[in-house]
Amino acid sequence: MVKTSDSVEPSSVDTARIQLPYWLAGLLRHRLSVIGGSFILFVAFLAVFAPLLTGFEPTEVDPPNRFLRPSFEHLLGTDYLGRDQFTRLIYGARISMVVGIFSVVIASFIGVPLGLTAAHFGGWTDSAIMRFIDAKLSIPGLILAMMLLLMLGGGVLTVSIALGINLSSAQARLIRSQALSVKEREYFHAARAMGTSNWRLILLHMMPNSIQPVIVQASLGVGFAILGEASLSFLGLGVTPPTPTWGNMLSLAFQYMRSAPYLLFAPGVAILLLVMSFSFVGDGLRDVLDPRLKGKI
Amino acid sequence: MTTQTNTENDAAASADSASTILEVKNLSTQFRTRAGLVKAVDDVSFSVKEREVLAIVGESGCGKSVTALSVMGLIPTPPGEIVGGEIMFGGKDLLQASDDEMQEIRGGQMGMIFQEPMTSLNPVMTIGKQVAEPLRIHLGLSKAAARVRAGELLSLVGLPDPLEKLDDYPHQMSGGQRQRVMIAMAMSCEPKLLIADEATTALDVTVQAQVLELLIRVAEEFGTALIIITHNLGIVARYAHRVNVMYAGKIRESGTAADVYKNPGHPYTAGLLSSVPSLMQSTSGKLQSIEGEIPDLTDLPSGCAFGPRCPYVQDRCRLEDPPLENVGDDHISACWESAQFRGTT
Repeated sequence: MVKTSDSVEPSSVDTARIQLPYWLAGLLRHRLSVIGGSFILFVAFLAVFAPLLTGFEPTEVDPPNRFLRPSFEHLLGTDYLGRDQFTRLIYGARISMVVGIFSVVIASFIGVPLGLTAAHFGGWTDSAIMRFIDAKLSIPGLILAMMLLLMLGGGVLTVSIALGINLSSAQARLIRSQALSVKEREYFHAARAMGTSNWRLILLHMMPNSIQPVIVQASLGVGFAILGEASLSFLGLGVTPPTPTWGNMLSLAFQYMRSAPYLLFAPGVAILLLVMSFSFVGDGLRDVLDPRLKGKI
Repeated sequence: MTTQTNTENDAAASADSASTILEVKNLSTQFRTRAGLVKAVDDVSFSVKEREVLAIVGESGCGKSVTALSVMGLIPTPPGEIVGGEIMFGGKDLLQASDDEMQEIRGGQMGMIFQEPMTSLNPVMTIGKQVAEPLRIHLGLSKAAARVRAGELLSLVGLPDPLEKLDDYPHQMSGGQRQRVMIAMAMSCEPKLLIADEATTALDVTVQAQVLELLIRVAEEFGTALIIITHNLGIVARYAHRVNVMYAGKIRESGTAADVYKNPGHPYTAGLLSSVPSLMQSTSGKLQSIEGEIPDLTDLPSGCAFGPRCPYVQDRCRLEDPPLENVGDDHISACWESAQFRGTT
């Protein structure tokens, strides 16, 4: 058999170096993704090693030293109870990161099976699932999250669930539309003609070929979830104080905006940068995973 | 069924004495579309014997693939629906079989190869895993055993370095190689029947012959009957024992390949045959073709569906659809004018 050269990918060219997965190699060539990714890793580092990076406890109250300006001892100053703002910021990063990632994981675990089921079985099943999702989408996201939080109570897990349920409809719709096109591909028919069961068809053939935009959407969703958590905390519905989150820090700082405006700065900028970083990485992933752009980046 | 056929093909003769493995009776498959009801397959009957090579020929959109998909139980419902008939396979009517039973039959006892080799393999799964799939599903082999067998199958279909190919992805292969992989997959459980739906049409001409030869050889080796769906009459002449000619959802002619070739019983078959370019033709002349287009399946002409394109059309053809009638030994055709028409050729 003659090998046609254009159908063989030049992937085995430099075998001397360790082969990175192509999406990672692509991301590393995407400048904004590298910047965003670095910032995410930086925040993750701060969050993980928070106890080692500061001498204070995030809930440690010190009334005599309230509203201190940033100084060498208190890098970002202290709040109305004299708690160290820097310490609260890096501990708050834990909540933001965990809630952000947890929410999209929950969203994907709800949305992907729903979307795949709807696409694969079609007909009545499809209509029922999609109408349910449409109905859910007609309720504004934040209001739905607030309702859930009022029922379940605040906390990292409940906030993640509330935001995850919100994000799940987008994931379901996205993977359904992809899966519908996979369903028309010849390899799907071929797999069916081999007697492959519905479960194997969905898990081995449909899901791996339709998951890419979901991954991109998920990385963008992390930013949305972080913002969502901040909004809920700002409204006093998120993770319960005194546990610091960027949202409730912002909410507190807001009350003392006149006397200590610098307190707004740190959590505000942190949210902005982290959300931007996730959307940079999301954009990068979309470019890298887009098969039409494969090999061009 | 007669034993006296004027064919030179020994295999066809031996196929005559074998038992029938697939019998399709009065199959009708319809699609509900916006434009109306499409009778894609209309009252089609035929049978396939053990080790037989049956060709189904006709232009695009005449019901060949829908016939195959109906047999495989792969008609998308909705919009498609099998509205009548019987498909007897292994003593069972497939139209009455449950989904689970069909799943077992597909890939296990009955395989199918599709037209487009570039897209008929899952792009994110290695070749080895894909060939191993049916082995694991139908024969219950372990992962390791299925992989070993997959390697053997790949070497059987003539892929170079089959063991290395196991870990390759489809995009690393050429079209011909992929179609060999498809054959390996389809034959992995040694099915009784294999349907090749335009399996070589999309390949390079040079590779087409190789892949077809391979298909025939492997089918012979495994004792598998073949249904070759094609519009390439060269293939029919060389490899098929029997031919069904379909037009607008119906079988218009059926007989042994040699018979149909030498002595077509339907003007449509004759038209198809004369459309095959030949090196013997004068180089100055135009290529032959059948005038007109296949009719709109939602709005078939009254009488014979081929009537509007038929050079021998008579008044009667426009009013009544001709039934299939014997025009020779083991040779049927649906044409009112077949006697006159055959006299002229």
